[in-house]
Amino acid sequence: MIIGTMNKQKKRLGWLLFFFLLPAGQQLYAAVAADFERIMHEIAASRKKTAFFVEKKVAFYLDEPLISKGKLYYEYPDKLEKTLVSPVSEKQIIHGDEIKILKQDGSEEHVYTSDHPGIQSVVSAFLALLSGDADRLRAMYAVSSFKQNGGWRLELEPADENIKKWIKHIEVKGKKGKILSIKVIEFNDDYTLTTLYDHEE
Amino acid sequence: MITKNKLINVPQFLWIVLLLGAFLYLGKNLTVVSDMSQFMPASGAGDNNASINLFLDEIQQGVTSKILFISVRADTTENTARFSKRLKRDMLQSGLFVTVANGEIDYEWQRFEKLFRYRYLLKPHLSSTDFSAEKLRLALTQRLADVRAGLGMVLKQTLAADPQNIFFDYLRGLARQQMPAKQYGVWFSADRQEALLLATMNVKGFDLDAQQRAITFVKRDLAEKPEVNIVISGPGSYAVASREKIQQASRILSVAATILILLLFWFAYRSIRLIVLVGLPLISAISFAMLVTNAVFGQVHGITLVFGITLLGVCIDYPVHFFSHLQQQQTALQVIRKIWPTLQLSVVTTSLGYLAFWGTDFTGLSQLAVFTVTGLLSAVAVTRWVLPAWIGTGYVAVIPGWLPLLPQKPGGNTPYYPLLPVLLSMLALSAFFWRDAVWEQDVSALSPIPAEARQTDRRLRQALGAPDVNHLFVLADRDAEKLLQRIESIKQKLQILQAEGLIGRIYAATDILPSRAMQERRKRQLPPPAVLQKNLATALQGLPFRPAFFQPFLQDVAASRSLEPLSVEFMMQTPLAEQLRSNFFWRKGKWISIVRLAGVSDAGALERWLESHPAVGKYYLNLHKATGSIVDNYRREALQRIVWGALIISLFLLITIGSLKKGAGILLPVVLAVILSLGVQLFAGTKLNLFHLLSLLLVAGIGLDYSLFFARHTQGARERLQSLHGVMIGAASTIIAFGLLALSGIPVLVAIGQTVALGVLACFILTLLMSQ
Repeated sequence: MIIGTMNKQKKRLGWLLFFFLLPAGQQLYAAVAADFERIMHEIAASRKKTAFFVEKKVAFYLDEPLISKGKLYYEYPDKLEKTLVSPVSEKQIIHGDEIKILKQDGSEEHVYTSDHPGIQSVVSAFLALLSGDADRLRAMYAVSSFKQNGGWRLELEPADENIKKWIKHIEVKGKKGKILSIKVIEFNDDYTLTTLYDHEE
Repeated sequence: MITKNKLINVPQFLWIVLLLGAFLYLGKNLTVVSDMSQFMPASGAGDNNASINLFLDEIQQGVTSKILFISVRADTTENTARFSKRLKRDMLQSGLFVTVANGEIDYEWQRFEKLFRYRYLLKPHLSSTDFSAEKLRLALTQRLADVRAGLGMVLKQTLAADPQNIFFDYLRGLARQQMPAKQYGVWFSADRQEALLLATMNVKGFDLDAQQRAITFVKRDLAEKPEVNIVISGPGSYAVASREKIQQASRILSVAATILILLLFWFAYRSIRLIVLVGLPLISAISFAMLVTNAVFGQVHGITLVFGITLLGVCIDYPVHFFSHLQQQQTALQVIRKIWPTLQLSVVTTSLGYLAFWGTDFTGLSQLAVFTVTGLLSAVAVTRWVLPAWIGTGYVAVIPGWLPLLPQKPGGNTPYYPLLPVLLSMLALSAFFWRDAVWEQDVSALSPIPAEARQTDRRLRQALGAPDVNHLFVLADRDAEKLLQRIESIKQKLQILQAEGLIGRIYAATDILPSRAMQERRKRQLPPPAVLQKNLATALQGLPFRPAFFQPFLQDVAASRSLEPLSVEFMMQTPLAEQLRSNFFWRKGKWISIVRLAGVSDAGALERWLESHPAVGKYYLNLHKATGSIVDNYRREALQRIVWGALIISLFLLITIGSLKKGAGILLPVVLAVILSLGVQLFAGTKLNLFHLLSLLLVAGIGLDYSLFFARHTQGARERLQSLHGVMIGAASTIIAFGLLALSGIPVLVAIGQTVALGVLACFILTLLMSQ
């Protein structure tokens, strides 16, 4: 009974394949999924960070994307300064829950992120990412991590239903201890993509 | 032996019926009010004075009286902020509070939607130039900066209809300018140690129990967290704290006084029956006094009630005189008949003294006159006609063996004794000249709140940027629109001072709700649709915004040009109602509005400016000074009336007695005792206030009573000793009761206690030494 033997052999092969592939699958998964803890640990190694950035905003009220360029300076744990050089010279200083905007015309604006849950969750995500604080990030977002192009990618989904009304998700790309880009996608698909380059530590 | 008298005769029956009737009446009709304006002059400085009274009334019963300042402190800044948020949430859920603010901003759009369409009528300083192409472009570039800073997420809710952020600016302008610094989204003190909250209690009228519940809730809410420290202050907590303190003090004091006086009476009479009966005249006095006062005025003021009952303490003296004169051989009826003429004279003279307060501009004082006179007459009537039947014969006071040893005059002339008291009193009188500040000028010195708590209040008030209560303008009108226009005109004039830096900020109701006239004016400044469309198109050139996106803006401005102005009634239905009501409220047929100043850098310069600008100055009220001057007037009026009372008493006594020498002999020790009581207090550093003065009447009444009893014609040494016994027991019980008040630590009670205890002691000694 060749057919019967074939079937048996196939079955055996199937099992063999299964047992052979199981660790391979795990290895494959391990190859794709990056170690979130390790990434954050590497980011946390530097307490002060400087980089240039290009920011691209796409929104339904804009005809064309709003592009701004400048320099970013971060200081552990919760200070972030963005100095814009293009299209205008402007400064945004985030300290804790306060955003101070120094506009081109010399006027100043203060915004408290805790007054706006949506803005707060974005600012908190930036600060948690830059400080490499894995716990703080996980307290606000469900995090998935992946290996990509020799670096890594994080997908952040808001944990709070209330925040989901403002933000769909945040995508972060990086290499070792460096963040290369952060993309914030709002509930209506408006998005902001911040790309960082020329890091200094 | 007790004779087999019938216990209930006509007078007793009448008394029981009347007392029961009084209880029934009071149970149904007694209205105790704490309306401050009752104790303010009824007539006087005209319309403005009336609005000041209404304002003081509002302070006591309106929103202002329900405000709490709360400070929260925990181990770390982050935890402090977290507890501030939790406390706010719990407080709002409890239903005990109308508003709780801790700096968190509620951006629930729906709440303000009703007001949003009125933004071009509400926003101050909006002019037609704001809609020029140039200004619009500036606004749009600023919005771009906001978007770049990450605010687009929130901004896009209103951007299409309100690219100039007019509505947000209006709301932000209303938020306290000197807002406390924020940490983690909530207000913090300047030293960043404590989180601050501002709450309004959900209390109707003057309900201290409800206020107490609300305050207790705040104290207990985080009780399970030992690391959290909560401090509560503000006008709303004052009333509760003073009541707590007064209740606490009076509980201990009344227990102590009752025990001591019972012991005294036991020592004096050794009879349970007499001790029970001694209280009846006092109970009757208080009940009938409340009944008559309530019937005459339709209400009794809380202050009248408390102070009147204190003054009626003297009624204990009537049965004491009576019981001290009881003898084995005489029936109670015979005894009371014997001392009746003296008792009668004593009550009538004291009553005349209080009658001097009748008919003053201060309703409170008039009420006090009716209250005390009714009480005194009821007490003496009960002593005269009700008590004797229940005593019969067989009771006798216990005269201690040392009593005859007290210095007393056996009859005839003693030139020596009067000299010493006169000299002493002259010395005491010199205190009036020796001390430069005899009168208490600071009203807050009368507050039962300790200075430390007042300090906390000042600190939290400043930290929260609450306006200075000392500089304000009070305006009133039946017509809301006229009132709003007047406020606008005053504010406009005051803005000159603001520009000069003399004042920091002006808080006015028109910031929230402009007058209709102002709203109409703003409407007329709005550009016609075609012009706006053109300006917007120009402004948008070269900017990345989608031009069609701003269609709602064009529509809203066009619609605003024919919008019916916002009314007070409408505003009172919005989330801003509470804020409006604190500065603009309806009271007794009028709209009253308060314009408050904050950050006054030079009060003297402000007052000089106001004097030279009477159109504004006439509405100005320096609350501290105004209450001070009201208290001053009060004291002057009381002093005048007391002098009148003294004259009437003297005249009446001289005429009744018919002898200048004898009359002077009765009056002199009392006058000297009054001087001594005040002099000793002044030497001890006390500043005198209204309550010292009112207490003097009680001292004078008691003193006259002693003097009359010492001076009455007695049959033999035994009866003289009995009179002395009565006076001594009366004096001892008064000194015990008021001496304890003097130890209470509550300024008003201390004033009364000191004056009466010292005065009665002086009266006892001087009348004893000087009586003829």
